[in-house]
Amino acid sequence: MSDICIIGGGHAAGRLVNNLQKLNYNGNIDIFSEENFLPYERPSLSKDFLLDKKNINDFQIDIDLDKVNYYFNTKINKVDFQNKLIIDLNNKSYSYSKLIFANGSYPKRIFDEDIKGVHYLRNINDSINIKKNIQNSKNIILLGAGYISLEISSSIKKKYPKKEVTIIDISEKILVRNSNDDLRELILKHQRKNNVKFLLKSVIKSVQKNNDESIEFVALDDDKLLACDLLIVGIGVHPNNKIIEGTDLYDDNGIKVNEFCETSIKDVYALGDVALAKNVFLNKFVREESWNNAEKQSNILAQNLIGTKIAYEEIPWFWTDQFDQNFQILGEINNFDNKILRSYSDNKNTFLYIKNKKLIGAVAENNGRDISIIRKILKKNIEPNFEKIQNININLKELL
Amino acid sequence: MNDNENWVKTYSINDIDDEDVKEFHLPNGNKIAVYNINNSFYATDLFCTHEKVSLCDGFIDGDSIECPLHQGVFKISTGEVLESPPTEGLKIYLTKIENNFIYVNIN
Repeated sequence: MSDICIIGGGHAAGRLVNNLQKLNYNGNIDIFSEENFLPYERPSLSKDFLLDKKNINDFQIDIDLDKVNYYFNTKINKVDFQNKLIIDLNNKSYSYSKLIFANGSYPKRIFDEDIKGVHYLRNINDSINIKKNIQNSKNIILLGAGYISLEISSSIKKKYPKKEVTIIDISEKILVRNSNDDLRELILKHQRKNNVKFLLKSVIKSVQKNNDESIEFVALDDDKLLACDLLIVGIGVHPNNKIIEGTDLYDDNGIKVNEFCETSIKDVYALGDVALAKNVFLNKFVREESWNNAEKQSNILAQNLIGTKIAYEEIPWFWTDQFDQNFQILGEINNFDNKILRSYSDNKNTFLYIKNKKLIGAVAENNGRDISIIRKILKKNIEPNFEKIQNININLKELL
Repeated sequence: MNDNENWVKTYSINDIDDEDVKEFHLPNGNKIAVYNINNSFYATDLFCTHEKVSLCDGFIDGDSIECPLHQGVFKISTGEVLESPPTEGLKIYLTKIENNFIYVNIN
């Protein structure tokens, strides 16, 4: 029997083990991963790994394998909470003392069938396949104008400026989720400058194939045909919550946990992309799909598992790197009633969002220093002087 | 001066405000960051070990520097990683003050 049993072998799982080992945890740890790689961080998959600037060793998570039982290529598909058992696809069962769901999410699909030339990006094998195919493709279409597609378009255009890259989305705006109009405008400026094309308010109805069954055209809902030899689909993810369907833990949007990563069942926890977690700052349950969430929740949960009860109090934050520009998003960037722009230069800007005279979030373009300071202001619940914020000559640090 | 000392003159101590950092280019072409932390002067490599970005655009909080790109944090005096994503520490250089100038040992 394992003391700690982790379902999932991604960033959150790996960092949890890494943190437990740093805390000198001595119990037995079982990890069940559907992949054949040790845990790794995912941000590079759409950027530096795709550009051959990094290899997996650069973002793999350091864990001491002598002290864990690592089950590669093993899918757990059932949990018996009453008897504290998990069951894999071959009906083999494993008992646990504490169970951690770190099983992440999976990409939403456009077609049920697998079609040659249609790709999704979730894991390192996906990224390897996309990388190989980009090289030989002329007309690349990215479906979905979310962060993943925008990072992939940036990577492709940086390496192959002459390749045709078109982003298609059903919405009239890019970045429908986790964004706002200020950020959309900043990002679109760089995408368009680098000749990425956008077809918004458009839907791919079907694909037309070559004789070898590979993709040749995509057909839009207005029957227009677009030449396409590589279609990369990035239309969001689903949390891997089917495993607990029918139990009290199930929620359409993940596995519900409190700010300690605890579910409503004793000794059962969740973290990372699959966790619909109580966010103390936003005062609501949110499921974050970010590096920061996987990294910081794993630290909190590791401490909780060894008996130091700590709440997760991170302010939601993530970054996206596109065309050598860095964008950072902190806190609540919608539902504001006022905003202030600190513009330092054409490509260096910070938007600060205010509600009821309180700072609630920020978006920064190439200005991480402001984000560091604003995070401190938010954490300390400081009531900032907005006149000072408006004055670009005043260092935000003075507000601390 | 012994063999493992090669001191390079950088800024005057008056050139760098308290809790501030300035970029300096060494004669060998390497770039470093020179810090004033409460009138103690430190030097580290200029670039974050996670991605090649200048730490001079980062945020100094006490004895730590937060990278502007992905918010990794290093301890300025020792170079150690305090917060991920970087995993590799920052190279640090010994400093000394002579005649109000900050010297950095690049060996």
